[in-house]
Amino acid sequence: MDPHTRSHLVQRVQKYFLEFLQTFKRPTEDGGREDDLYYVSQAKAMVRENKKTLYVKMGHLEQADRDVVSFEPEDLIAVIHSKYMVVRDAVNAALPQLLSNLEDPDLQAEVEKMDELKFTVAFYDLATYSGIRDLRTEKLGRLVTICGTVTRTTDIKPELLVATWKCNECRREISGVSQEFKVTTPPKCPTKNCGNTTNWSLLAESRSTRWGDWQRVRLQENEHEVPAGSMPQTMDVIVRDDCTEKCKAGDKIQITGSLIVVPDVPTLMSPGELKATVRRSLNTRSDPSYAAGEGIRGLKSVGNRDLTYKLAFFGTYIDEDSDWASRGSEEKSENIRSEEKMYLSQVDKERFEQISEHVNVSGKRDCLDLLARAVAPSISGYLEVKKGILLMLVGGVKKSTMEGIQLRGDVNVCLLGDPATGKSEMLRWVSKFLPRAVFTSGKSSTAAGLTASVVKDNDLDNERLIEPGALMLAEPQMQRCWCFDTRYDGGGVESEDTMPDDNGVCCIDEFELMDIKDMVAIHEAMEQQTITLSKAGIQATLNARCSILASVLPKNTYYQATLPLHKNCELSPPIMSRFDLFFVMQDIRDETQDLTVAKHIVASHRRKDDEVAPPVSHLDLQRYIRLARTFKPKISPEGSALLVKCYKKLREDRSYTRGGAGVTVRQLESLIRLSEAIARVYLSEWVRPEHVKEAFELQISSLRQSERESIDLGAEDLAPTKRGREDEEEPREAERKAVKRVRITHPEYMRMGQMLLRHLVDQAAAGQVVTEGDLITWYMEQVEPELVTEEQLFQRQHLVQLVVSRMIDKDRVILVTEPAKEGDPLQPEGRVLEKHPNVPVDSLDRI
Amino acid sequence: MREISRPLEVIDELLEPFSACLSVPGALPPREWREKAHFLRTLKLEDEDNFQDIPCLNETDTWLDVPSQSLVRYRCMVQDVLEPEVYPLFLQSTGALVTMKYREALPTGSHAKPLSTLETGNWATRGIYLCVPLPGESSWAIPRRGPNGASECGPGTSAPNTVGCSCLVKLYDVDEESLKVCETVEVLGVFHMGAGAPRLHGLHVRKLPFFHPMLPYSPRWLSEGRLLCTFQRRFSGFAVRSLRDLAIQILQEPLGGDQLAAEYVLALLVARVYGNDGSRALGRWSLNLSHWQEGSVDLLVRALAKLHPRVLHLPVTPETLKQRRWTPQKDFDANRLRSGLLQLAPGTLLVFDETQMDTGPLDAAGLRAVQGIRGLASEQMLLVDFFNYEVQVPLETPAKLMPSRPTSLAGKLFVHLPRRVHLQSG
Repeated sequence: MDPHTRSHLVQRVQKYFLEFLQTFKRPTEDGGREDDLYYVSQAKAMVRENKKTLYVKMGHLEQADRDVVSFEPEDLIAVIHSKYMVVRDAVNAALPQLLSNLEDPDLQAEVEKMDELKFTVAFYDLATYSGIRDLRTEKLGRLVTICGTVTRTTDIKPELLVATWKCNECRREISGVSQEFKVTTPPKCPTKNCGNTTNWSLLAESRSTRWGDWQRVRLQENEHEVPAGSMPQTMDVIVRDDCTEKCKAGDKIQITGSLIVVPDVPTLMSPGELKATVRRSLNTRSDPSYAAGEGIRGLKSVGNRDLTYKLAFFGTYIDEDSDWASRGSEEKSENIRSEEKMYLSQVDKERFEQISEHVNVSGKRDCLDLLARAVAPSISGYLEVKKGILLMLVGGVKKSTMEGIQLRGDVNVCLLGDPATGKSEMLRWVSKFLPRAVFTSGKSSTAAGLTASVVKDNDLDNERLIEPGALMLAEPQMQRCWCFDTRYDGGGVESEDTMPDDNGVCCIDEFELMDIKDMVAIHEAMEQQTITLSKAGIQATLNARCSILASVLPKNTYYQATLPLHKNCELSPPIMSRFDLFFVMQDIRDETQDLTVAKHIVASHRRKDDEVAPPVSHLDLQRYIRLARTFKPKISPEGSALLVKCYKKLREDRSYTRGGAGVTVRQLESLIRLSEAIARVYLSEWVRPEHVKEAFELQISSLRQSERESIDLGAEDLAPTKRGREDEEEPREAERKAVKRVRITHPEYMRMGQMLLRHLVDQAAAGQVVTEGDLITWYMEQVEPELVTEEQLFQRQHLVQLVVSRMIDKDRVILVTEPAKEGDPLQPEGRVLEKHPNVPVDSLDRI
Repeated sequence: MREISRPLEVIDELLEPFSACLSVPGALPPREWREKAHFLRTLKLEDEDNFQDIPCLNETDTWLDVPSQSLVRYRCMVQDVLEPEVYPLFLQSTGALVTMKYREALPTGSHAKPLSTLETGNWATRGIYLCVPLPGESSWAIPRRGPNGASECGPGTSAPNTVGCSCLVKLYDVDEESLKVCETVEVLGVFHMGAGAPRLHGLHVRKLPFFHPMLPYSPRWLSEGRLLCTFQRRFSGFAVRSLRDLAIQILQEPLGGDQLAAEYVLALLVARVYGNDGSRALGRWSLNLSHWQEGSVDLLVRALAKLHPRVLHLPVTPETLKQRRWTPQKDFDANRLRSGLLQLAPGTLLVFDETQMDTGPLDAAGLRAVQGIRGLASEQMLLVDFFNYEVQVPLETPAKLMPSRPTSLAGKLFVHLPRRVHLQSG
């Protein structure tokens, strides 16, 4: 660009930008404009707070009122985007101009005290963002936003902007020597006959010597953006003045600024020397401005033959990354902290919309199913559990009451299951899927309870083996226990403003083995989402805003379907009621399911990718969830009516009761959370009845899954479909009833049923007529060897009678071809029985 | 041949047709001017057999003798991916165009200035990789060496378990971001030897997964057809069988004559990952051999080294676990990766020797080492320690564990041969 065009462009940008600042009014929802001149009042506030940075939202430039301004907003935006480093000075210069035009004497006095070179304009809320990997030379000088994790920061160092030198020969002061990359002294003393060119001292205190702050931050690519198998890339970011000390190592931040070029010394050294040099280079002063605009003013001063440079990023706006944060309804002051952001390219947006609009064969939207299938794809089946995990990842909307009490939006899920049902695999998948949740406090846990050692095993010929320390080694995912994403929350007064929602997922395997002290802490963590510690006289509150995904082994290792849920796991009712979803994963020997699982595993070993590959990829799922989390669905009137109805139904119907605690208000809250999460999955702004319905079904299924497996037999059983558990039963009463009421597991019922049916078929083939009495006698003959005591004999006889009546009356797989001859309903043994012709013997489980 | 002795001259000559750009303000030559194609064509590299005619850094005794700015090839493993470097593409030197591509410094004696148009168009980036010779190479697989076995390479550094020296490889254009940590590649490029580390500016990169010195070809070139026509003549069905018997025999010896154990070991050597299920690699397994007599592990390792080009014997004891760096670690101060014992080229046979295992506590480092071993042996994943999280790099290595019993080192896939190995005395 020739100098003329350039200065013309710069002048015009300054003029137009000033115009924008002076006239912009925020649009209101009804299409009008606010009365307030937004940036004028922002600038005033800035001066009052003694700050020097004005934050300008990129979206506001688009909203500029075309009737008021004399330029095309699109053009100005395009110029700022593509030539940021060229017009940056002009944009910054518009700010003191704006301030000097304000008619406010107090303000003027304030402004005069400030250094006008220091005023900067920081843009934020750009429409797109680049990964660190995408920053290449074609992005030089453009305005971009990047995201990453801070790995190192330097101390804040003074940076000499403009120096005043004293000639040590004639004591003359020379001011206004601008500094370029390195400390620059005047070429020659202007005093006549002095001739000094080398002997100078810096007048650091002089009025005309100007200093700035600068800091170098090393940013590393976010874990979830690193392509599989690659190393995360890093980028040096240089920030100045108001932007310094905005972040510390470990923070996830986003930075808006521009890519610049700086000479790179380290790569010229041998790799062995790299370490020392890089450390040095982090400490050397580097002024990004030398690379501004022209890109390479530093070249002539480098003057050597080695022409290698590296890219650095000049940051003008730093914000915490809101990727995983779901900010509640509390709106931050817009200038400092922007609202929700979701950076997505247009292509992605369209693709995700397509996913959310996906319909199944019958024309129903089923993106929940579709996405749930992408959860832990290496595990076959368990769609309900996967739905639960998906909803946990998406989460409900966090709210706070008028009094400022937080209502959590995180969904807690508990998996109760037999060994080898893939619980751990699920947990592991989640911890891999969400790196954020997993690793935050891993360090402290390695330092603490870690006592693995090599021991001699006396049982095995004194051979040596590595014994894992308590939690750490036994299973890979266990090291991630206690990975609450916590941050120390000092005073607790301003915490809400300064802290992002941590929002991780804490995966706890073998929850039931947890120390009782920790269990108590979990109570607090799960509902109030804080952990309170009292140590050495200091009361500290740690935020633990995370969902909990726990896996629990049943009390007797295997889930006993005959026992109610709360008797199967050793969790206290308060803890149980804090889980929104409770899934029972049983290792059932079921032919069809075994077949699917076996096919799935074999297929994955046979390279049949299409059979194994999930419909939505890992990365897409992550991004989809990120997108879904930006939605804040409100409950529609119809939805709220249905919620009330569902809750009443839950309370009324005792068969849904879970645990000793029964249905409490917590279940209503979890129902709301789940509905919200489902609405988010559908990318809906409203919680509609269909979402509530789906949530309700999921909650019911998670409660009832176990119940299907235990079958009550007995007198009451003749009444239609009364299959509920008697949870609050007095033990004695239960004992008394035990004679009449017997409960067997579903598989056991199946087995007996199969046996009886086969006998009926065999007899029918032989042309024999079988009465109920014959059948029972035959059965008792078959099982006789198993029985030892007389009591067992009676019990078994009673059982088989009940089973046969159930098969006749309820499941209707046995037909009564002839009623009992005496016609006495109390003596049914005489009934002649036959297998229902529509029931194949092998598929009894379809009933 | 000038392409080999003075490649930079050739590259500049190829640029000559574009020197008209000098007189047009703002005009720039294209970023690629078919220089790569020229080299591939002139050196007839479509036929990978012709690569052998180009001097190879791995085969020279001392790198100090390799003429600087000559064309060489270098076979290596990517040890670290460094930050990309920016350089000005074109310079003006007394009326001629000169490029900084493939160059470390300006040609001596020239007064080159960057082209006047120093807008962003003249900037370009090149990817920088720290490469090391393949770790754990068997002695027969290492090309000819000087008397002391190791080559001299000036101020460069060597990685653990490697013979030879490291080199900074700089790659351009499509190759710029093509390499990943732990890949085995052969780089053909312009060699620079200056005051710093040796550097290689790549013109052509060949990926050689599962590199075998007998078949130094890329899988794309070494098609089934070529394999057939090469080997069908040499190996009749009978020859293959007798070779297999020979291999079994070699392996059988240190295994105390146990043929079944030898078959297992042979099966381990030929196993490959053939697919992925989520994060799981399918097809690779680890083998446990137990009940060893003292010293016999060394014999087996020696036998394996006869058959396999890369074998690494790693004694596992509480001390080695604690003291040595097993998994690579990110050094945030230097902003580079420090290599670990487990950072290997794909297809390296790992022998974890637990026969010297002793009692003793493990510290955090030891634990990380155990996790790293398990990650590699059972999940074929190299865990790279990034301080607060781990980066997983898929790395396919057959692993053989020599434990006293199946320990926590092994994952799900192991074949335990209880009391199979009967060592003969003498």
